[in-house]
Amino acid sequence: MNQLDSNYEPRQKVDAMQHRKIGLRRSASCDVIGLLLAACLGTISFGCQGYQRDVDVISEVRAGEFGAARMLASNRATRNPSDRSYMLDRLKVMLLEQADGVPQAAESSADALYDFLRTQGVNRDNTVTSFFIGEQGARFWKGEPFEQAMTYHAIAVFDATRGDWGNVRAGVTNSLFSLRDFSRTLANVNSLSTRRDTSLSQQDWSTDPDTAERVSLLKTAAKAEKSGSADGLATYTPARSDFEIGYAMRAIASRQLGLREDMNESVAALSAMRPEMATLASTIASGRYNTILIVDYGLAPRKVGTGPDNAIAVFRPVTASDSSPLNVRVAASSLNFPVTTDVNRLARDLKWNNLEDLRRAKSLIGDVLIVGGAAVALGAKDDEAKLAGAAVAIAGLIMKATSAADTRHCEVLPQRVYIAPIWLEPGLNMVELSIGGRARLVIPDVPGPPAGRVFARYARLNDKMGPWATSGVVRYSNDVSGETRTPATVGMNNEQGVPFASSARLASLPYILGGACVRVPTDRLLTEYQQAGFLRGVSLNDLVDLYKSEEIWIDGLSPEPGPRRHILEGGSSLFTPEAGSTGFVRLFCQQHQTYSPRSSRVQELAAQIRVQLFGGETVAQLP
Amino acid sequence: MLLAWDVVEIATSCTNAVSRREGSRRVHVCGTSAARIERVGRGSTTRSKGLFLILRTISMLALCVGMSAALPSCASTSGRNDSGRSTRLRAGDIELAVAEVKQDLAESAFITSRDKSSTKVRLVPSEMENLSSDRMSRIDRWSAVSRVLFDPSMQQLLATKNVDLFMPRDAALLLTRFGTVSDRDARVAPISIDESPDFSPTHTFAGKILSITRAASQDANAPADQRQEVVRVEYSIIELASRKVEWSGAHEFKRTASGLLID
Repeated sequence: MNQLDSNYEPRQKVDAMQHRKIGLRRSASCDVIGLLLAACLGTISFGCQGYQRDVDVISEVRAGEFGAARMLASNRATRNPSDRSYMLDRLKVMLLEQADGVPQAAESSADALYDFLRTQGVNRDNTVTSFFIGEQGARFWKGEPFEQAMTYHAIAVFDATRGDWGNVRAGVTNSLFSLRDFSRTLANVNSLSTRRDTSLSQQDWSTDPDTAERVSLLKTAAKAEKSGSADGLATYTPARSDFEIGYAMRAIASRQLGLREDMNESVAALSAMRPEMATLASTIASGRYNTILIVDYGLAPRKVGTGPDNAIAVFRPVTASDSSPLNVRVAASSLNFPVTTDVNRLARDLKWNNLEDLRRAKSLIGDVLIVGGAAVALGAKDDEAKLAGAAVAIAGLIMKATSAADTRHCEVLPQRVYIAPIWLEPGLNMVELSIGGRARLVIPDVPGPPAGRVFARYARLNDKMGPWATSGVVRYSNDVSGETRTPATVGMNNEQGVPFASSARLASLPYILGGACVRVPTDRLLTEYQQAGFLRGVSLNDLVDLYKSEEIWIDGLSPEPGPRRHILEGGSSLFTPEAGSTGFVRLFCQQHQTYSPRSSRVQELAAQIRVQLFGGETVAQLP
Repeated sequence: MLLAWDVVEIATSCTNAVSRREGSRRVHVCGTSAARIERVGRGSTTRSKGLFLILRTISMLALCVGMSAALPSCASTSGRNDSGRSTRLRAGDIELAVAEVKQDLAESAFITSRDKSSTKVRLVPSEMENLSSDRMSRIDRWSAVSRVLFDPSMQQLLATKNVDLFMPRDAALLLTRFGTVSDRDARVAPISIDESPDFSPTHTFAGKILSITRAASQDANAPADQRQEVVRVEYSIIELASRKVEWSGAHEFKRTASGLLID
C-alpha cells in the first residue's frame, strides 16, 4: 500500500508529495552535477595533455644517426589512420627516411601526405568537439601553415631526387599559398583604450615578444567584437607567400620543363623578397649547373602553449638562427650560398600561423561562464538556482581547461634550408659541405649527371655528427662507388696480440661472408667475386639464397616493403642509400662490426673463406 | 592547480546544498570565498525553477552535442580524399579523357586517310608530361597514354591502317606490374628490343596535362574555402623526322572542392 494513501490527511499528503518531488528533483540535480563533474574531470585530463616531443629521435637526429632515428620514429608511429596524429607521425618518418638516403621507403608516406594536405576541410566536423575536449584531442593534425609549406617542400625534394620535375613543380606550387597579414590590425592596438583587461592580465607576457604580439592581436580582436564589429581576426590583408625555397624550387623545376615564363616569375619573386638571393636567382635562371644540392640543417622550433590558459601557441627556437652561408667545395672551387629559408622566422611570423580565433573564443567564453556561474551560485538564495549556477560554472571550467593550444608539431623539421646549384664533372666527385663552425660533411663519390641532365641531391647536417661525417673515405663497396679501394679491416687473433689486418680482396667479398662489400647481388657482381677468387661454383640464385638464409631484405629483390636498418648497423636490410646523402656517408665512411652469421650455411662458408684469406688464423670481432 | 581546486570547491558546495534539509540553516563555503547562505522559506520561486530548468537543459544539451560530435569524429577517417573535398585527379577523370580522345583519333584525318597499303608507321608512346598543379604518379602518366593506344578497338583499327605500336620496355614492365589494361584479354604491345632501323619508331604519341587553379572564399573576410581546377589533357602524334604534328586532340574538365584549404 502506498504510504501516500488512506493513512494521511490531505494536507500531509500534499506535503509528502512535495517532499517526493523535491527529493526527485534533488536526485536529478545530483545526477546532473555528477555527470558534469565526471565530464569535467574527463575533459580536463583529456584536453590538458600536452604534446611530448620524442627526445630519443631528436637526440639521434642531432648526431646525424638518421638510421636509428627513422627506426625509432617508425616503430613509435601510430598505424591507425583514424588517429588524429597519424599524418604527423608519417611526416616525421618521411623526413627521416629522406635524410637517411632511403627515399624508396618514403614514397608511400609522400603520397599519403600530399593527398592529405590537398584535402580541404579536414577538421570541418570537429569544431564542436574541439570546444569540449580540446584541439589536441579533437582535431586531425595538419600543421601550421609553415609546417604545411615545409611538408610540400619535403615532398618536392623527394620528387626532385627522382628527377620528376613535373611533380616537383606541382608540389612547390601548392606550397606558395596566400597568407593572412595582420600587421594592419596590430597597428591599431595603440589607438585603442589602454584599460587593462583583467581577464588577460593575470600574468605579464609583455616580456616575451611573440606572446605579447599575439595577446595584443587577441585583445584587439576581442574589443572589436565587443564593440559590435565583425570578427576581429577577420581584419587581415591577403599577402603573397614569402616561402623562399618554394620559389627557388619552382624556378628550377620550371626551367627543367621548359616553362620559361614560370621560371622568370619565380626568379623575380625570389629576388624581390630577398635581394641577397639575387645571385642565386640569376644562377638558377642561367642554367649553369647540373646538380642541385638541397641541404637542411638544425632542428625546427618547438611549439609551446603560453598566455591566458596556455591558449596561445608560440614557437621557441631549438637551433638558433643566423646568416651563416653554406660553403660548398668541389675540387678546387669553393662557393657560398645564403640561407634560403629560416623556419624560425616562419614560425614567429603571424602570417604563417593558424587557429588563433578558435582558441581565443574558447578562453574568453570560459572566463564569462565562470564569472557568471560563480556569481549565480554565490548569490542565489535558492538551491536550484545555486545548482544551475554551479553547473554553468563547471561548464565554463571545462571550456577553460580545454582551451589550451594544440602544441603538436613536427620536431624533426629542419631549422633552415639551403639550395646550391653547382656543376659536377662526369664520374665521381668529392663534395664538402660546411656551415660556419657548426657542421661539416664530406661526401665522397657523388656522381656527375649525364650530359643535358640535372640531378638533385639531398643532405641533412647537424651540429653533433660523429667523425664519420668528415672522414671522406669509403670503406665498403657499394652500388654507387663500386669496389672500394680502402676496404674496412677485419681483426686477427694470434699469439702476438690482436693486430688488425686488411686485405684488398675484402672489397670483393660479401660483408655477410666477412668481406667489405654490401652491393646488391647481380650477375655482374657475382662474376667480380669469382674473379677475385671467391664463391666459385656458386650461382646468382645461390648467392641470393645466402642472404635469404640470413633473413636479409634486398633492395629490388625482396617483395616486402623496406628497407629497415642496414646490415652494417646490425639491421637486416641490404641497400645503398642515395648518393650525396648523409645516410650514405654515415654507412660507408666508418668502420662497422664484423658480421656474425646466424645460419649454419653462411657460417660454414665464412669459415672456409677465412681460411682462404688468412691461412687458418681465427678472426676476432672488432671492439 | 587553481583549476582543480575550483572544481572541488564548487562540487563540495553543490553537494552540501543538496544534502541540506529543508527549513534548516547551514553555512556553506562556495568557490574561493566563504559566504553565509540562508534559505528563505520552503519553496523555490517560479523564476528560479525556470532558470534551473533552462540552464540544466542547456548544460545537458551541450554535453550531449559534444559527445555526439565526438563519437562520429572518433570513428571518422583521417579526412583523406573525402568526396567533394579535393580537386585531385581521379581515375575516372582520366577514363573520360581517354574515351573522348580515342573517338577523336579514330575520326581524325590522320587515321581515316590511311589504309593497309599506306606507308608503315611505327608509333611509340612517351610518358605524359605533367604541367599541372597536381602531382601525378608515374604509373598514372603512362596509363593515360597507353589506355588510348592499346585499347583493343584502337589496336584493331590501327592494324588496318598499317600502324604498328611499340612500347618502351621499362614502361611495359611498369604497366604490366600494375595491371593497367583496359580489357582483361588485351595485352601490352610486344616489346621491341631490336634496335635495327627496320624497327625504329617513325612517330611518337605524346601527351601533356595542364591545369589552372582558382581559390577563393565564400565570405570576403574568411580564409579560402573553395578551390577549382580546370584541367586540360592534350595528345598529339608527331612525326619524328620532320617534327610535324600529324594529329592533336584535347579534353577539358573542371573539378571543384569546398572546405578550408588551410585546414
